[in-house]
Amino acid sequence: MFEDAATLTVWRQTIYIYGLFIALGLIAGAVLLLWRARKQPQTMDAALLALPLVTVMGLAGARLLFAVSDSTFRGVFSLSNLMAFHTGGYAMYGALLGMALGLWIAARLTRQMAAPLFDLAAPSWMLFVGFARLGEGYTAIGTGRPVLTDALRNTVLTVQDEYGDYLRTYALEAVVAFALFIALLIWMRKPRRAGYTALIGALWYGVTQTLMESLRNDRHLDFAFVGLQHVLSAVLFGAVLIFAAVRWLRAGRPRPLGIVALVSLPILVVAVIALEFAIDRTDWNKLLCYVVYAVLLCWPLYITHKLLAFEEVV
Amino acid sequence: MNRSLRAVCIACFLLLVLLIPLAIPSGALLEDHKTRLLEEKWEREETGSMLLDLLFPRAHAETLPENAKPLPIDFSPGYMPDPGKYTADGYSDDSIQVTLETREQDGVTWRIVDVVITHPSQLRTVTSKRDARISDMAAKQHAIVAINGDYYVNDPDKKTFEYRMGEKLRHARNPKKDLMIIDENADFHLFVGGFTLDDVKAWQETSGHQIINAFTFGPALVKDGELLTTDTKYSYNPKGPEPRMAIGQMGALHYVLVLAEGRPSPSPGVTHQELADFMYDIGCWQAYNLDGGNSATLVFGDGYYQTSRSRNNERSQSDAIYFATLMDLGLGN
Repeated sequence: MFEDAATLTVWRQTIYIYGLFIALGLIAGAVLLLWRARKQPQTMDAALLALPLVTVMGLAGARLLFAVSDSTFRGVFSLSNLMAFHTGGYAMYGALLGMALGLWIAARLTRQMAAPLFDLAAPSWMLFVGFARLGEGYTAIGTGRPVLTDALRNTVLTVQDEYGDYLRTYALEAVVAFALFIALLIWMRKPRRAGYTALIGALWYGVTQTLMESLRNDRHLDFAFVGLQHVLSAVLFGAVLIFAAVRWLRAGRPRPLGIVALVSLPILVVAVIALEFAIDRTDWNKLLCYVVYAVLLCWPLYITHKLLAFEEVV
Repeated sequence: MNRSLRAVCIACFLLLVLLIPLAIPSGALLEDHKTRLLEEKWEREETGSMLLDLLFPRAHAETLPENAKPLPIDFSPGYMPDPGKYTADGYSDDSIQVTLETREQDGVTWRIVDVVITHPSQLRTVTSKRDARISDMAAKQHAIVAINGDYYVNDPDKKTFEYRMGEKLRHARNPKKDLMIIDENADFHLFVGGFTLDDVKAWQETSGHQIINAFTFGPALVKDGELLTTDTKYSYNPKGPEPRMAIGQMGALHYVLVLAEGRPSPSPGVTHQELADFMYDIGCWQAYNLDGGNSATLVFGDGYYQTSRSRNNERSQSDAIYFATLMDLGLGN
């Protein structure tokens, strides 16, 4: 855990370790994307064009979302402040949205369908997130609340500060992202309907990140007790669930399942908010609370997979 | 796409990737740039406004007990208290008297901590870069008694005026909230009904006082010995019963910390006005409401002076107010 940002000096040049991990994530994601696109020249063209586009738009998106949502910028929002990339201040969801836009533009420019390209890029996306999270370990963010249990103190899961041992949430997020990367590769071994791999990737990421954001307590893009990225994670999986339910209902499938899925979403949100209150305000066992949290979040995974199953296989 | 175009794409990508480690330091704003942006914002908000100098307390003329040393106005901890001087009713040494009292009144449990000190530097504040428990901050700072502050980092608009131990943390005006300034003599000054930076500047110029600590939370409860009628539209459920924390000044170097217990305690909590009435009734000259709800935390020694509070449910926060001894027993600080 660092006060600001850890650096290396190579040939008198200061190198930010966080930036290094971002670069590694981009390279790893790019290599994977190109390797997977190698057999189709058209897709290869789109993937190659996507590389600079995704990088530029990802950075721009991350910076823009941070600048419009962080209150420090309010009242001093200007192009020069926005373009001061070296000052830090990025939002992961802005990066992911920017990257998605870059991919879409690359597909359009090469006259490709965007959905297969998104599917192809989905594992690269997770790989990038994993590296980016590891990089957060060299910045002032990415940690959780001070832990209560002695079992976690002085372990690889926590980092010590003057007031206690704080959970290395960024490391957990990296592990989850790498696990999702592997899970997506396994998922893709079967032929899937175009766009569904990216959709499933978004669902898995939204669900797991909702839990991870709850574990975070680093004041990064927080509005009082509400984290912007926490809300966006819930919005992400919620949007996939709604999409799946609407597709199900429009296809004329039995209505109860679609309706149950839609009705369950606000109930789930209320339950998650109640759990957040319990974690903050009660002396209930925190580990148990998070187990319940994780179990609750299995529901959108289960129901969305069930809704998509009828048309996901080609 | 021809080969040269493909090569251009790869070259552009590699160039960008090479630049990233040189330009992207962190997902968070770096602290010095954050400060610069906030300074720019404050300057824009108050045209022609001043940037307050960091001020230091004047030498205190009062006679101190033998072996007592004034504490520096910074975030360094106080002297280690003498463990033998803690009793069930409080703590007492030559430099500080802390008296604990619990009252049950109309079903509400009131925790009252009366504190008399001998030097202004004993009223201290502490902040934590990452949220920390008040009990952990108290332990590190060698606090005899500590309470939560106003949890200023949790204010999403950052439109607050905050000083801690002479250090400017935030410098914005607030048209709605009441401001409490603690000066170099550890005297409280209240600005009721919102404030501008010009108000603060004018107060400084006319009074000649320095700002050591400042809090934007409120509401102000008692001002210059007069009971205030609290605004029923003030933030955080003013008319509802909630756990509340308040700090009051009874006289020179004489203070009172008051906790009205509420959830999860069986005590129902109180409204802002009930808290103001209570502070007035116990004789406060100035009194100010701090963050309540689950933030309300009262630490005495190495334990809590409140029911239903444990390390399991204690909220981690950004700042605390505490009192320390001046007696250097050689136990370290």
